[in-house]
Amino acid sequence: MIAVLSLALADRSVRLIGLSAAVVAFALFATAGQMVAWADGRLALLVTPDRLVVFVVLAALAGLNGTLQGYALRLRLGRGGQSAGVTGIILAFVGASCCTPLLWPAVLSLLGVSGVALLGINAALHRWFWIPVSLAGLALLVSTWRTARAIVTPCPLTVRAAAEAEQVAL
Amino acid sequence: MESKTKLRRPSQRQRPVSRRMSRVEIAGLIGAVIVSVGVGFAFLRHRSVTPSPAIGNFQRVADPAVTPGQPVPVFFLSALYCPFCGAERWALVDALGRFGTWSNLNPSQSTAGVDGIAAVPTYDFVHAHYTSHYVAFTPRDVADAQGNPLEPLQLGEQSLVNRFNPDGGIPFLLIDGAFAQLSSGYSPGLLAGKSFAQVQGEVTSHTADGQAIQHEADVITALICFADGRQPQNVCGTSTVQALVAGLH
Repeated sequence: MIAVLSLALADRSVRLIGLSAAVVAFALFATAGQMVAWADGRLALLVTPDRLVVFVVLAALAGLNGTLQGYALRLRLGRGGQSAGVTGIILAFVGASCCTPLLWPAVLSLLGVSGVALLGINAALHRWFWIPVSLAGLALLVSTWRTARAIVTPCPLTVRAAAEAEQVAL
Repeated sequence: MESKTKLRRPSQRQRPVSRRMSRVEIAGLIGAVIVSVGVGFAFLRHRSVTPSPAIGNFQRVADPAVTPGQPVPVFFLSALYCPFCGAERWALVDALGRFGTWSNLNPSQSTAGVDGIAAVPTYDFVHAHYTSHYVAFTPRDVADAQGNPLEPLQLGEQSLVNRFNPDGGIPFLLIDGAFAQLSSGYSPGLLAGKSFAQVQGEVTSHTADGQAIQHEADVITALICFADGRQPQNVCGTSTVQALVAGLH
């Protein structure tokens, strides 16, 4: 994993992708969790150590994941990890949400969820905050691991490709 | 010769190469759809629920029923863990205190540390009582400091939430069934980490942070005055409130 990461980080554009992913993810979580909010023309900063640590860890995982995904894209590898990464980000976003969630209530309304039901979900998510956040971390780790594996796994040689290569050699 | 011509037919030469979507593309597509749908619906709901701005952060969501002599319904939806709710309670206590009497009103605070929310000193509405000839106040704290269910909503209150607060956000303040505010009227960051007595002192000594609370209290006062035909005169007749009420016409 470290070898793959150092290989990926050697590329400047991939480093930029990873850094951007981490910064954007942190901004997303901090806003969703209303750690940073805009009220009456003022910026509200409601920072507490535990929530800050959770957001930093998730953002770091998103950055690590983004770095490897970026490198895999550069190598034109489309195998494994992307869907787990997206799932992780969505779960983290949902788990981080606080009092007036931004996006997902509107998405849930597609399923016909009422305001009262969403209110209950908001409170329940606050109560079980650690479950979606832990699942998000797990999904991001799985995604990172699968992408790293995809990078180090040699390209499979298909029968057709082998035949073509043989023809060229002849 | 004939076979050569067949081989050079444009339909065969220009046939697009079929390609399956990669997982990156599928994941990106799903993400884009979720975000687009969410933003679109949030926008539509925002428009349908909040047709026009009123004063402060309040929106006029229906035509106000100006009924002099009748108590103005004030509905406040919140939770004990929520720092924005904690901030709004200061302004509510101040504003409603001008129209009636509070009893058993004790200090409280939003959850600190345990659930990762900064502590905001506030009042406890669960055990408080409020009496007034001018205001019919209904506070509902739907969850406790840990997010456990606390006060269930009555049927009428549920329909208010479904109609005017379809995203289920808190704090939600509805005055006269016509003026709604989602989230607090000022930043709870002004109160975070302070003690109850400190904030009380800031309100009475009119510091900058205290003035933010006072301003929100004035806005709430003005909305109640507008709805009840500007009664009582000693509350609704002040220059600040009159100026705010004038902004509602």
